[in-house]
Amino acid sequence: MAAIGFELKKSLKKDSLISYLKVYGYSSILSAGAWMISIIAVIFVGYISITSSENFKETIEFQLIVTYAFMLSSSFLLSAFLQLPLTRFIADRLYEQKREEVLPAYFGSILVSLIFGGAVLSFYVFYLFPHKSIYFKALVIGVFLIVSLVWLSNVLASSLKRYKTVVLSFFFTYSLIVLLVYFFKKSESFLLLSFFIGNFVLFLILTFLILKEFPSDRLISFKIFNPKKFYWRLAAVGVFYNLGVWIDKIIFWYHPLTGYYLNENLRASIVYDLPIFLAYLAIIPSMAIFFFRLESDFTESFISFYDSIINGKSLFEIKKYKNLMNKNIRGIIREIIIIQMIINIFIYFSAGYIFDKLNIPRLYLDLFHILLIGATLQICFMTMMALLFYIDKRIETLYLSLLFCILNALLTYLSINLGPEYFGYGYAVSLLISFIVSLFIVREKFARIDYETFMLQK
Amino acid sequence: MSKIDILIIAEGTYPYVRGGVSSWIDQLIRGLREYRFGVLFLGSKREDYKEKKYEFPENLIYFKERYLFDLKAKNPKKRKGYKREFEKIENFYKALKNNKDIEIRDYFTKNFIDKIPLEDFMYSESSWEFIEKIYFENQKDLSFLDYFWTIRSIHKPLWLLFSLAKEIDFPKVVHSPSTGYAGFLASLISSFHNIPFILTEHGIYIRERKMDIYAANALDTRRFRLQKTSTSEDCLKKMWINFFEKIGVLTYKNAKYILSLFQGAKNIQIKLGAEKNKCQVIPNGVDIKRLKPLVKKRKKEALKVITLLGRVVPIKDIKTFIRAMKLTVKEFPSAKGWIVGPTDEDPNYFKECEMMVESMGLKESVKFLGFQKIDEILPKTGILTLTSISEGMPLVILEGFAAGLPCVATDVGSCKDLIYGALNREDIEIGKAGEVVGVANFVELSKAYIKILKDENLWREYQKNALLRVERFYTQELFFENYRKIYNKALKWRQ
Repeated sequence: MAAIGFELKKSLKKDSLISYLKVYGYSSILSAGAWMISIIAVIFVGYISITSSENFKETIEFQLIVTYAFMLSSSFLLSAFLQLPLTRFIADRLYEQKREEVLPAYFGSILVSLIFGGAVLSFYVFYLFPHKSIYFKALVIGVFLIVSLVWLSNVLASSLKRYKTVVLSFFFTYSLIVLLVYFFKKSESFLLLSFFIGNFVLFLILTFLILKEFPSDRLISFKIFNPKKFYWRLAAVGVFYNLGVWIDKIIFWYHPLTGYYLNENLRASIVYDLPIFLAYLAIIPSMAIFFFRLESDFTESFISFYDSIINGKSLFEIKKYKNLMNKNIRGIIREIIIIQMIINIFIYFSAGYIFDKLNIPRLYLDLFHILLIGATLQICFMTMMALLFYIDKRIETLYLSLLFCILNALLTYLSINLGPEYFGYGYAVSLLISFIVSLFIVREKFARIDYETFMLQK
Repeated sequence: MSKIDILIIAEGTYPYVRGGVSSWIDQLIRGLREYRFGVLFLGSKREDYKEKKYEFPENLIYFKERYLFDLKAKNPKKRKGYKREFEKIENFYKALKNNKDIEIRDYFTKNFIDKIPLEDFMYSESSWEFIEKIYFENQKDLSFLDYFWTIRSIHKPLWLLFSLAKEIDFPKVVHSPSTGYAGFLASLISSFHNIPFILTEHGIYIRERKMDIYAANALDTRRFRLQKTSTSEDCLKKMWINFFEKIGVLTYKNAKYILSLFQGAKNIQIKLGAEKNKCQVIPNGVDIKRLKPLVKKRKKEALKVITLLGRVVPIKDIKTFIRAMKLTVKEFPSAKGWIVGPTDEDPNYFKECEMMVESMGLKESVKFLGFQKIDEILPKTGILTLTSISEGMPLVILEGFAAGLPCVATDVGSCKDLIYGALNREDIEIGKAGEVVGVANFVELSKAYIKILKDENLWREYQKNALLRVERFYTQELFFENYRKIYNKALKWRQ
């Protein structure tokens, strides 16, 4: 890492190094965690309203709008572009112990996202729902905007020391949404409104936490947008990675063979949407392993490794910590794969039964199986990306996210044209390839981490 | 054929820093007008030096300056590097370690720098493996971070030397007034271009470096980027010393002539590994014609002023002089002590000395006069003194002699040889030209002062001996003649 190079030379301030790592490393984990909670909540909301109302189509539409909101904020809007640069900007400021620059940067990013996002989204919403009421349109714009603001706040919230509070507040507000829907199930507008309210509360909580943590006498600054200092590569990584995550869904929505117009210009895919959500639901265990292992074991051994260098340990000790760290990495991957595969085998045999119980046609079963493998691989790939973020491999993560995005687009398109029995293979195969490539890169980088830390510092 | 006859490699001296070696270089070039000289100045960093302190004589036809610690490599980028070339360095080190007879040519050629550019040393995997390997072989327990930076700091300047040795407009003869980086560069030039290399050592470089390195703040001012974790500090210092020792030995091996200023230094050189039959003593010489009139300028009677000519720095041990003056004044109240020399080099030390003078109540007797012209000061002085901890061959003693001044000095460098006579029988028979006392021994020092102050006949005898000795053995003409002989031999060797 650039800053560690600096650290090695000056050999100081251990605390600020660790806080730097936490911010930079955790953010990737946290955004994934928040993302999971949101998806689960949306599925719950959908489930509740489907089982209890006759407005089947409206519920699906609500789910789709929320899905669109996630997709837009994570990969198309300014918030997607700013996600990683903002993280890095804040991590750097914290490292320099300039805490007072955090808040203005946050509000600056929020304001710019709001203005640009609002303008773009207004056009987009008018395109999506040309015939809906202005009230409905405003609500949809509101939902889109608030999700993208939450997305950005989440970045900053992850730099808080009490990051568990952040996860809890996600959990709390999404439970609130589920409860609101459960007790006052009414129209689609109401679903949207409760979703908006929930996210707005979440946004307020996160902003409150940020305000408390990073006092400042200035409110807004646009320093982060200085084009010469802007982290263009990181921005590109964020966009391509998230686009990669969504691109297969988007292609299924818009391909004439698999997509359809749900309502007005809102697109969906009956074949693909449900299985992929179920697949994501099924990988929650890996998600948890990823989250906890990376946060505890890996971070610890990672910090021990740098500590051993900074505290003047012998090369033998340094290598010992390096090996320990590598062992931990292997452990995490192995654990994710083994546990998820056991779960997958269990699901494989019981999926038919569960599908019947949930009134889901067995038609989806084969697609679900392959998507389950794809989703498992996605967690593995995400783990590799997170590891590379820890050691600040910006070029490598950029190439990997590009590879994933392009492969997923090409192979998904190809799989649709090959016929229904190939659906889902595009997604799974693209992740298999990306994961294997990333595995080699991680192996190479972490095997040579001592060399790169010492010899390639600026 | 090269236009430059003799290339002098000046490490941190001429023309930017005043001092013994710089004046010596200036004297040599001006005195030997029949040769065309070149000077290559090796500094630490450009910002450490101000304007040139010496005017260039006409026969100095070439001047180049390079800075050891200003060397910039390109931005870090991953690279492989040639493993085999690093193995060569490793073998070279092994040979150095075992004190084998080393021919630089067997390990490095002129094109070494093309095979391992600086960036390879800084960033390549081969270089990393090389550093890992030598670490495991030599250190094992030392803080690796510190080790790594020390290895880098020690080696990085060598790349400058290698590229200089390759590109330089090479002369017919190369002459280095010290070992260290300059001596190593001279060895490289000599072996790459097959030209003779003359080494003159003023002090013993290795010893001086040792003292520098052990005085920790010397490391800071030289900007050697040492990381200081207290346990490893000693080991790191040893690494530096080891390095200078090894390249010192290598320099001795490569030099055609190894010259020193006095017998004691020659003996140390031989002990450190210099070949006996290459070694020769060529003492400094002073311009008698210029200094002789000063004898007439002074008053007839012996003056009661004791002058210490030197910079106010710890190595000159000014504090011992002040203590000795305290005792002297007690016995001989009219005695005065003058400290003549720049005070700005080590302001803290100067302050300490001033406070010492004040607290000892010597404000009336001991004065700091700053930098003064010797032509002004010497005629007003009765006894010249030097209380240094270390010296080579101090020119001021000879200048004092030529101006008719006896000298009281500590027993360092060639002081004893100069004051008591040592070159040959004739020299010894001339007799004493002052007194020599132990280092830091202020009691003996004051006794010597008092003895001379009280006995004007003794002072006159010392003065007579001093004048005799300097005119017979330490004239500038003799000095020039000696170097003329060496240069002519070396120039012929080339053809």
